[in-house]
Amino acid sequence: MAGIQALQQLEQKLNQVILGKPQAVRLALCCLLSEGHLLIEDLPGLGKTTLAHALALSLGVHYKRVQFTNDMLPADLLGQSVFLRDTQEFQFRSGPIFSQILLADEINRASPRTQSALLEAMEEKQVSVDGLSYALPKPFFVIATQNPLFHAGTNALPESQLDRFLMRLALGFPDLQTEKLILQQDQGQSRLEGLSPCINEQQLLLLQQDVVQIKVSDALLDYLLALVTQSRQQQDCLPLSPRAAKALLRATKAFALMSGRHYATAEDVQQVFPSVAEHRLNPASSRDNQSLSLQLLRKVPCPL
Amino acid sequence: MLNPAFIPTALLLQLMLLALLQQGLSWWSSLVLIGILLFKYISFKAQKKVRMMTINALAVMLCLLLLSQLWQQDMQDSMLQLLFFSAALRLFSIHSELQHAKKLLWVQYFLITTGFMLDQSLWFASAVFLLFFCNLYLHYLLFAPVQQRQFRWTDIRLLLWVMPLCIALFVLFPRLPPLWQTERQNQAQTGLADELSLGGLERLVQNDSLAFRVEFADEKPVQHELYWRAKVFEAFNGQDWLPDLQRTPQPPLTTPGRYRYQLVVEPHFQRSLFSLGQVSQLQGQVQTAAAGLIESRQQISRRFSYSLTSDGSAVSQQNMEEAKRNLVLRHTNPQASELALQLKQQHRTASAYAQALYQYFEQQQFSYSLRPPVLNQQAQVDQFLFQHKVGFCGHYASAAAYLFRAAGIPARVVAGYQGGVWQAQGDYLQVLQKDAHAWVEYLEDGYWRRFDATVIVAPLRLTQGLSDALSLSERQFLDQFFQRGVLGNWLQQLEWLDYYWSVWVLSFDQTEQRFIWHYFKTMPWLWIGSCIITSLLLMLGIYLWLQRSNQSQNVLLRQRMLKALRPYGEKAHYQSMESYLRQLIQLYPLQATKLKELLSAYQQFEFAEQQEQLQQCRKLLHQLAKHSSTAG
Repeated sequence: MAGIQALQQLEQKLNQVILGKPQAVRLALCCLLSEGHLLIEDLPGLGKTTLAHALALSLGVHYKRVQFTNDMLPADLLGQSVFLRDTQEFQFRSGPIFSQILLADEINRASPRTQSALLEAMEEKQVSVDGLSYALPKPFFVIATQNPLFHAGTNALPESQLDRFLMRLALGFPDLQTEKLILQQDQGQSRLEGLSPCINEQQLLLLQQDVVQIKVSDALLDYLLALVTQSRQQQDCLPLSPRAAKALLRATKAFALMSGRHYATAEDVQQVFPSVAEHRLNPASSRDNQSLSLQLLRKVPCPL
Repeated sequence: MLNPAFIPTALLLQLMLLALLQQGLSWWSSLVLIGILLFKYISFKAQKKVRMMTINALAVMLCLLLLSQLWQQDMQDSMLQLLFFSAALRLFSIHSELQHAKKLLWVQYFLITTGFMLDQSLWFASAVFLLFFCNLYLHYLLFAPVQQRQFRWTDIRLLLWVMPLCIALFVLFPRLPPLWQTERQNQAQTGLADELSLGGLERLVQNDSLAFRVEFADEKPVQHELYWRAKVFEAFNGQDWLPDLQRTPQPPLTTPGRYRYQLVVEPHFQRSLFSLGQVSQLQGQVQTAAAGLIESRQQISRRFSYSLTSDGSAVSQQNMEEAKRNLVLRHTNPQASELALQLKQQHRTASAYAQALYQYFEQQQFSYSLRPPVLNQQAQVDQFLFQHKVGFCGHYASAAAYLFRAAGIPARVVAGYQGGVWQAQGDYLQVLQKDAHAWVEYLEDGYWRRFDATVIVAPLRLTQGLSDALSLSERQFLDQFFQRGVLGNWLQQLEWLDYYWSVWVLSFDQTEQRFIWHYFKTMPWLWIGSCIITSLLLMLGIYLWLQRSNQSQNVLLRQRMLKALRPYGEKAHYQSMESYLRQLIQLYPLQATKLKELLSAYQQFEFAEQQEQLQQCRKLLHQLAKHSSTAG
């Protein structure tokens, strides 16, 4: 399991860049390992972009960053066919989406049209332009960031599209000591500069396969289903879909792998549950609010 | 760690127990017990611990008090009181240790079942069962896992599952004779008195309680033949009729009788039993007595059931000496003696004399009343026969027996019950205390013939029961004692239930059991069928059990963990085992290594399904449970 050691090294490095948020870092890596897309939502200046960048940089894969604005068109993202005079034919010029990691900054500033073009690509893992389909590279991983909804000039992501993100993370304010450390270490240069890849594309694909192999006991599946079923019986939240259940299971497995185990535990489920479920239970909530999912966890007895 | 509901429930239970065992407790012990329970309740509410010194002192005092009362009281009741005192005082020490609570529960189980020594009716048994379940609930409160302190439907279902087993055990388990028996003394006697004076039986006639119940196997006698013999009075002291104590038992006939019947007798604290005419077959606890009577080997202090066969005919003469005994007369009533001689001269044979006596009672317009005038001490028979001419069965029997003996015909007074009420649902006869009756038997041709003057005076008394034989004012007088309201019909149904409770449950003994086995043996298909069904059920049970046990290893381990680790701290129901154990690791640094090992072994067993870790888990749990007392 050389992959796991590399992964732990990676986690350590990320924690040196994103100070005081080990849980967020671990969950972000989980998301990556379980081939899901990640949405980071928080106020400006809390390190969303830094986390996204750090992840992309340290993975040693090809990545691009797109800053979303409200006048952006789908073609700006996907690419377009250009007529070439020399050969008298159209040629497809691929857009920034053709990368292994796409940093979609401030995704909720784009128009719904552009958003849906991106989300379609996320789900299908391919892009259709002028009747031709172009496969996206592997692995394909979108890290989107967004500001809380109450900020001016934003278009909320619809529920169906929020569902495509495996996790929604919020970083939150650092505690006093961490913030002091950040200020002390501010030498005028970005922390990201020193970051070098410590895992390669091959290893990443192998790790993703390892996640699938993680053992999940029958009783644990029952517990997971009990959580999902509880959400369907409750009045005050949206029900969790089977897709959500699948996402929860994958995230759980990835979390187990991150802890260096080959089996998942109930604690793994409880750790990933708020990040996986909250944006599905309550799409309108924003930032650090995980109340509904935590309530749900408290309602379901866990014998394991 | 005791459930907060335990002590209030236990207090309530003991209060109910106090009500149940009231009969066996003296007034002062009831008061003391109420005082103790109240004291416990107050100290519980105020959350104050009572010092053990105080409790011990109280216990010693109560023991001394009991000892001082011992000579006045029944031994059995004293023991009951002692047990009850110890249970009540035990309540004070259960906050400290689980061990005390367990002891309390067992003592209470014992106390509840002692109720059966006092009463065996269906209602009492229901109350006993109710209390038993309350105690079971207490037991449950003590041992149930923390998260399941509520009695749930599954628990009740489990109890229902056990029911068939209980019934099977009741039917099949060998009935052993009692290892020891206790006699209850100092009991007020109910039933027939040991002597008959003019105006006796009065007390009984005003009593509506049940005397006994009878079920006939095939043929039922007619109503006016139902003379239930219980006692024979052969000695006359000039005023009262007394039993002759120097008589030897009369052997029963061996010929098959006409009527086969089973009786269930209510406790009357005497040995006498009831029978119709000449008895021919006897079993078990029943033996013959003098004058064709039967009696029990022991005093009837609890409901008692026996079967009899008897010929409806008259009782035969036992020996020559019997006739002589029944001629002895002290002529204390000159007028009556004279009358007897007159009649005897006209009527030679005994039966003709009896007819003449019937005629005499009819012509002289004797009447039947439950409120006859009070008689003087002197010459009571004369007063009754020639002055008042009013009375009830006791008067007539006493007077007639005197007249027979005065005429030189051997005669004796028989006391017992007459008639009874047929219960339509059950086809059984119910005989109440108010059916008590007295009549005369005179000897003719070696047989004791019945003479009952009431037949002439109040014929309805025989065919339709007492109240129909009385005038309106007499009936109103009687109704003061028997309040039969709207509930009458309902009560009858309940009595019917109670009857079959005694017949099927209480009187289920070795004989009945042997009968069931015999029944099985005679029907091979029934035997084979029930064997097959039982073995199929058994196989199904084993199959289900194997199915469950495969999977429930995990469940068992989880329960075990919760139980063993409870002293360290409770697990919230939504908490995962991992976070619970981590919390404990934080709290108990001394046990941290063991807890960590347990965590890893448990995780590997539960989630990685490594069965070999189970042993490790058990070992660690055992060690942790052992150290739990030092945990805090």
